[in-house]
Amino acid sequence: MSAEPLLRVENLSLGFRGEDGRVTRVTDAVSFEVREGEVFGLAGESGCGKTVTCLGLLRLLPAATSVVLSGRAWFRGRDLLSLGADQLRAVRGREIGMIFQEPSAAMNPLLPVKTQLLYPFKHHGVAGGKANPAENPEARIRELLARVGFRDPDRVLRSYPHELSGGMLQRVMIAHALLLGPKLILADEPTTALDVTIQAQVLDLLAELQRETGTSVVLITHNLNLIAQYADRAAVMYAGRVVETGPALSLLKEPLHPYSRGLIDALPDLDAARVPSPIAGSVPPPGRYPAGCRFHDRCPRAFSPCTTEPAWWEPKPGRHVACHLYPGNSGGANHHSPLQDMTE
Amino acid sequence: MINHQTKPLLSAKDLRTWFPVTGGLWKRTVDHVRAVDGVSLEVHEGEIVALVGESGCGKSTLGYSLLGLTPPTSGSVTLNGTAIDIADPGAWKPFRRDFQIVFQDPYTSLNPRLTVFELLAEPLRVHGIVPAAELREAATALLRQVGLPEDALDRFPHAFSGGQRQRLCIARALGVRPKLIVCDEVVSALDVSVQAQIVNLLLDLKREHGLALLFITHDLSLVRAIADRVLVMNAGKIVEEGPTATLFSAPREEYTKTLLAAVPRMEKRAVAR
Repeated sequence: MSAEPLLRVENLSLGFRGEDGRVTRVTDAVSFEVREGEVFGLAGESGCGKTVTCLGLLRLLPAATSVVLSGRAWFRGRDLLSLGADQLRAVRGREIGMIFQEPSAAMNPLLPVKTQLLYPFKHHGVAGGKANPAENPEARIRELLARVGFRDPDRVLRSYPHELSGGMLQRVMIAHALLLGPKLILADEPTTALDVTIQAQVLDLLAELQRETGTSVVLITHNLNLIAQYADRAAVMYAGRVVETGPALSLLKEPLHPYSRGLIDALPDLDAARVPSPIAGSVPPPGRYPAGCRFHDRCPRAFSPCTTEPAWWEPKPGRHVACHLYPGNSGGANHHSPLQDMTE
Repeated sequence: MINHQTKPLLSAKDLRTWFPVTGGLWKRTVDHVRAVDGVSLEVHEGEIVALVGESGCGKSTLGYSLLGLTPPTSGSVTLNGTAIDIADPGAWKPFRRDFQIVFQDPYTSLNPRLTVFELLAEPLRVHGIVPAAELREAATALLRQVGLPEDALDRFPHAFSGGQRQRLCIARALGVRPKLIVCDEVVSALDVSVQAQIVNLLLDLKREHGLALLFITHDLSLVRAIADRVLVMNAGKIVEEGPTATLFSAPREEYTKTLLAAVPRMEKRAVAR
């Protein structure tokens, strides 16, 4: 834990500028760390700011309408948010890879797969992989396509995106992200568009490659079961803020924040015939977030202090929650045992 | 397995839906894609039957064929005790009211140019269920039933989120008070929290109105939570069927086991790492 994390996001606040020129804050003081060689899960409903945070890190949001309001994102000693355009281009794809939610939308439909997989090499002016710079790019591409499970890489290379299924395309995207041996991969809902069996294949593969290469992965998903199964540590986001962080398993087994609890209860469980219980209401749009704890208007445990900002509480090292139910907050004083209370 | 006193609301025997594959100079039919290949099933009043399988197994086509949206090639369909002449696309028309369908993608199944009121009122008017003067009132009641605010009535679909649109689609199907709804992956595109809202709504309707559902999905955890019976489909055929609890605890077919093993869950982690 003393080692410097691979990525440290500090107080990242992003905003969007509307037509009237006013800036709406979309994410608010988001902080998390991704360590070397770990899978870090980022969970929350649509509209919680998970994707915006990731796109913001690589500054892939439209420059004309998005604003970095505050924050730093330290990656290997540099602040991603203050890099110049050229420096940033050198990082994207080479040091940080990205896997998008909809593989068919992330690929150019007019070009064969081969042309698209050669782009990273051309763009970064490098041949072969990081390990063997002298290696022929095509050999590296074939090696990775075989690694992601294609028996006939040449057929895939000749194909156009529409000739491949969603699962195949997502495997191509994984190979694409790994081409230059990045230190970090941002995987944004990589399997949401896929079937359960294909989902398992793709994520098992990603996990295997992650362990093999020591690459760190940020796994964005709204399915907490995936976080439990694949992530080492995780953060839960709600309405543009991180509300709870911790080791993935303990976070899921003993969720402290009522929102995390709600997400878990909403998941149907294969091992129990339990009707999933919904979280009432929906995530408010940016700019309409309630004051204080942003979850309080949907929270089954809300009480009067919740209209003020909750403070962070650290029940044990590496575990954090921002909620008025816990010590350090107004409601926390007469609270006997938060852990017990939440799991009753 | 099926031990019902009642007559089935919907039944099919040896249903086939084949699509021709044409080739050669004269575009002759050289082969068929056997999307649905000899399926028999029954759905009874107030019963939730899940139809599970991977993309491409034919489950959506089966749903469409049962309702005549994609006419079947051969076999028989019986709705409400009446045998349908499957060769006549119009044969389903008298049953449209009782047998509704809600599609997977709420973004493409609502006409973007109609207001919510027009969307909800249309089926009520077509089927002559509500007099013109009371349409607004009826539409408002439907909105309330699916948990949407009344001021939604004069807005257009684009003003709503995916979950809200799916609720609009369900409200539209519910308006005509159907006996059965074919739900084709209705919650697959939605967040877990919203998914739970929709599922609870459907369960309430089953309890209160005896609504039957043919619930097409690839999400087995969800099936476990809501279905009375499960049909597992692979390559156009039903490969296994049974009461939900039995099928989940003791699957017989390899294919069912594979599907079940692929579902992510917390407990698997300890074994995997």
